[in-house]
Amino acid sequence: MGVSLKSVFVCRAVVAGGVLVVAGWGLSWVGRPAGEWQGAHQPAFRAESLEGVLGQGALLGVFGGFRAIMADFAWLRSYVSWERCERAGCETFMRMALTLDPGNAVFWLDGGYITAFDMPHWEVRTREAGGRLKLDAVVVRQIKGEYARRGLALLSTGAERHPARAAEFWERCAMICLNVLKEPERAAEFYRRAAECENPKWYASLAYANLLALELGRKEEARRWLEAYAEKFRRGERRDTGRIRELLDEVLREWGTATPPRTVRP
Amino acid sequence: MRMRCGCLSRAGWIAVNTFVEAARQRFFAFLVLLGAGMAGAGVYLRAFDFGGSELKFVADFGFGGMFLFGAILAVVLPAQVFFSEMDNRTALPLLARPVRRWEFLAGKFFGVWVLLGVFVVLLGCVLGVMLRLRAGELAVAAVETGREAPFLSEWGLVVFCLLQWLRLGVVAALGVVVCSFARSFLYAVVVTALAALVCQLRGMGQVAFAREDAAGWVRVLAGGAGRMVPDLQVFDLGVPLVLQPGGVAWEVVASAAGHGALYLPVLLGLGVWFFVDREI
Repeated sequence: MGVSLKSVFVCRAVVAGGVLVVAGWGLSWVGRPAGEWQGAHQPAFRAESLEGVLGQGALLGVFGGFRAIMADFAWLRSYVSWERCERAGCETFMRMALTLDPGNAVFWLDGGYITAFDMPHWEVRTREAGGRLKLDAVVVRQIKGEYARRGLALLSTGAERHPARAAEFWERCAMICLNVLKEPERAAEFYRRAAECENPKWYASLAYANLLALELGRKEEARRWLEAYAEKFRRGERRDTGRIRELLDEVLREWGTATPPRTVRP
Repeated sequence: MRMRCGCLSRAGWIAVNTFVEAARQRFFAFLVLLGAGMAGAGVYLRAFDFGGSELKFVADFGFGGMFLFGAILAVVLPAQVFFSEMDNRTALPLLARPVRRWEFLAGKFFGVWVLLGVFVVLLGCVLGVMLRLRAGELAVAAVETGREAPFLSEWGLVVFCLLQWLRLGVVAALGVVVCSFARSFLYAVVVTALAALVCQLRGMGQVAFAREDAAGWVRVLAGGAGRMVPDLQVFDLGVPLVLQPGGVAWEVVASAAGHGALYLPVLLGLGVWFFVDREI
């Protein structure tokens, strides 16, 4: 009798499993829009970002609402590794923080900088401590170039996610190009983006013009661009928070162009 | 007609008794206080926030408390009210009367579900008040600094609370299914908690196992197994609903609500099917 009851239960369990599968298939069209939305807006649900947080995935899933504070703790943990110059720990927790809370621009900004500026030095130091007395300059350059590219990729993704703060991201990209990759043309392009995007950094326009004129020898192009940029402030197309227009005019005068005293912005 | 009214009346009375019995438990009061404390404490813990939106941090903290403690209640309460009847043998005289087993089970579920609704409303109110107060302060600061005031939607919070209620209902329904065949309280709680965990991780599991580089049979198995359980992650719409103007389309909200609402009768039906022939 006991065996019989057990077999009945097993049969019921199998049928229940079948019912759940059929119900799941039947109801999948109802939940599809919500599932697709989660897939598109939650980076934790993308295959490429899963590997970085799979170990913490259970926590992520269970404490669905605690993502912001978990991301902050991950960031703190990443900072501890940063202080100890541990690349692996720093990168892992950084990626976890970014996956848990991609809405925090600071993670992207600092993450990009740390990746581009700090990590290559740790890598070089680790390799040199591993037996080689001094790494070849070409290898060092390759390592720095690789990390700089990763930092740029991180910052570019951050700029896409935070269009209102894109200027900060492009400015940092320019710094990486200038100081690590030693590519002034590319840096100038990033400064131009920082000067022209939504909520721009006006001083990025000066950096762009200076790079064009002094580093790339394209002074005439720089002057024309800066004049057009200053013109936008004169016409009121851009908000002048201070003395931006006057400063731009001053720079243009220094460059030997007499900017006519046009109508003052209302 | 009279018979149907009688069924509903009997199930309703069982639900009312279940609600009163569960609401009087200290466990419920303790978790309500803990959850409300967490929802309220988010404002004071914002020092842990590193540059993100302050309201988002506070809201996220409250949403987390709402689901975490709500899920604990949804896992434990069905087992507690079910096995108290079984262990005290009060289920025997109850079911000896003209009370059908599905009425008994439905009454237990709805009693717990209404109590979960009370829990969600209480926490939602605390969170709403905290968010409104802080948003007001931030709005004043924004005017002074010439920045944009933060957005906060009370209606979004109401919709989110309704979604959480549905989500906790699904967890409670899972608990009812497990209780319908479980032989001990501990077994029921552990299995329900694991089932809720699987439901919560369903979306991630499907992505992890159904990648293009995975073996064909793994993808088929993951697809089939993934369909067996409801996806609880689809209810995570708090931040876009409450803090982002037009953050989420209404069809997405309706889809999540429909997903939960349609799973409820399926799970309850399975529970009843297991329970009808159970020896008590």
